[in-house]
Amino acid sequence: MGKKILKGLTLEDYQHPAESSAFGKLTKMDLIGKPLDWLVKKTVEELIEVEEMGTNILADDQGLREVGTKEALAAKISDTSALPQTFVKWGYDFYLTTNGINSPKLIINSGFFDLLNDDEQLFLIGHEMGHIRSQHLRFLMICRYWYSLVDSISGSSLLMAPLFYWSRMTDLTADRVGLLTCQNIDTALTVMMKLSGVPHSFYDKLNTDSFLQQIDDFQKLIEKEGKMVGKMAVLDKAAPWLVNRALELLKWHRSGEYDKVMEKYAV
Amino acid sequence: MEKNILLGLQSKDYEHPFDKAALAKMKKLAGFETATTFFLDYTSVKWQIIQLQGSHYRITEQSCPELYYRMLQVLRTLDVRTPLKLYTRWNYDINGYTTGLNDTTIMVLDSGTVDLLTPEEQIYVMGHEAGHIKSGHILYHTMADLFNDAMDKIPLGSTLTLPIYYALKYWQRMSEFTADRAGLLACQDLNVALDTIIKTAGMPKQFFGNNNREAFIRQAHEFVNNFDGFTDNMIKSFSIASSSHPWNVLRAAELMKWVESGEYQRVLEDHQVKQCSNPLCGENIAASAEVCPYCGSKQ
Repeated sequence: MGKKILKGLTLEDYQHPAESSAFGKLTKMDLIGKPLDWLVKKTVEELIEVEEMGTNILADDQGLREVGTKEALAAKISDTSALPQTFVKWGYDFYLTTNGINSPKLIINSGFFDLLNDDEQLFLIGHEMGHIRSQHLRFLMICRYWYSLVDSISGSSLLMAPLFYWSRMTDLTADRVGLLTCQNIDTALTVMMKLSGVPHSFYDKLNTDSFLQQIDDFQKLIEKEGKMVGKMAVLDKAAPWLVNRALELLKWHRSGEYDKVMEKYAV
Repeated sequence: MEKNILLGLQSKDYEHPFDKAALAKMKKLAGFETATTFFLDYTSVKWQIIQLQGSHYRITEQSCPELYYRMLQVLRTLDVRTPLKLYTRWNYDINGYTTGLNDTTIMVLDSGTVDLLTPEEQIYVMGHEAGHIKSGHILYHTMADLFNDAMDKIPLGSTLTLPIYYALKYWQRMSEFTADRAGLLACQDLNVALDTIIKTAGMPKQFFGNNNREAFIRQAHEFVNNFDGFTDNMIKSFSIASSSHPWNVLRAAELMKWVESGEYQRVLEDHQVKQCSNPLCGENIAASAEVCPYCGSKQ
């Protein structure tokens, strides 16, 4: 396969600075603690367990073995020990997510397999591994179930802004793990392009140069607008901000940091 | 297919009477001016514009020449001179929207629009969106979409402005009839327009190309004629009150009415293009022009 195994990879090697500073602010707020953990475990995790088993296809040794193989490969490359259960659900979309904390489940939309090639799939599965191995899931779950679980607890609104901002930053860290897994910056770029909205009929005509141009123009736009970007995460929790993510990943790749990590661990 | 370039086309040439009436009524509403000013200052609008450019795929001459030139053709046909940016987003749907603030105008097409429609049908959709731009709908459209988010910033804001919200949504639906006409002027083929509406309404992909137009036209006539009693009209009003688009079948019916009335043909004829009679100039100018706007020579 030609991919280097990064045994011993640590969070410090790849954590995005925006995420680590946001996380620092979060943990200073002692509002998150054992009670919320317990609440999530008792309600959400059990719910997910039942829901997934009942609704979607479990990919394991018996069925959809190819999926399990990809996931195992991604875990091996990125040195992720907690191997999640994988479920596949119907959806003409690239969507995939990891749900659960103690027994995480990887949930992949069927469109993911139809619309992306093997290397691109490796990038996105690697991204999810990034969330798992960086201990993101504990707080990400609280974000996801905010309105059904936490919103009614008085005082929780103080937590909302820093929490949602941090949750956006986690994608920047996870993208780096995605790159470390697929080990090809062009693949990462084509994934971002597809996610941002290239129509299917143009998949064989993907032009990464023009996307680099869009990224460049976008960088100039946010430099001009400045403070607007700081609000980005909280105002729209669903926004993918793919161009910004591509920009951050490119910056990391171009800075030489990515190569340093690869050399440090390559086996 | 060679399209007539509709040089000198103006919004009033194709504006639907429902649209005109709804717009006038809406502007007269108490508090409308205040709400608009408040909305323009609402930073979330600016934020949406930036977020959009950071999330969707930009269409340029390099990134996707086919779509880019198709768009240019539409703008030329409808004589739209507003500079705009075109984006696509991933969505297996036939839809698009246009938004903007001050000098920025952005058109976003769902990827399904490109994948599921023929080039001519895509021209219909782009023409529809360009029609919104040409007719100056963008501000009120953006307002209609983000209205409640903005009004929620004031306590009881969205409750107090409920009449304005419903007026906005009603006008938004009426503006779709105007934009549909622009779409037809862009593709210049009623069958193409109808096929697009049929696909949007729900034709499964495997049945594309089976000639179902006649049946759909019959359905459109039936909807207008048979569902016309008092209760039916009440139901029609309530169920669609917060919707941004009128019903597909009704849209087809309105387009056909416009064509049958002869008005569509008149718009095409009124906007022919000719060459300036001055051989040193030779520019494309409006057929009805008596003086060339470029060189000033009498025609």
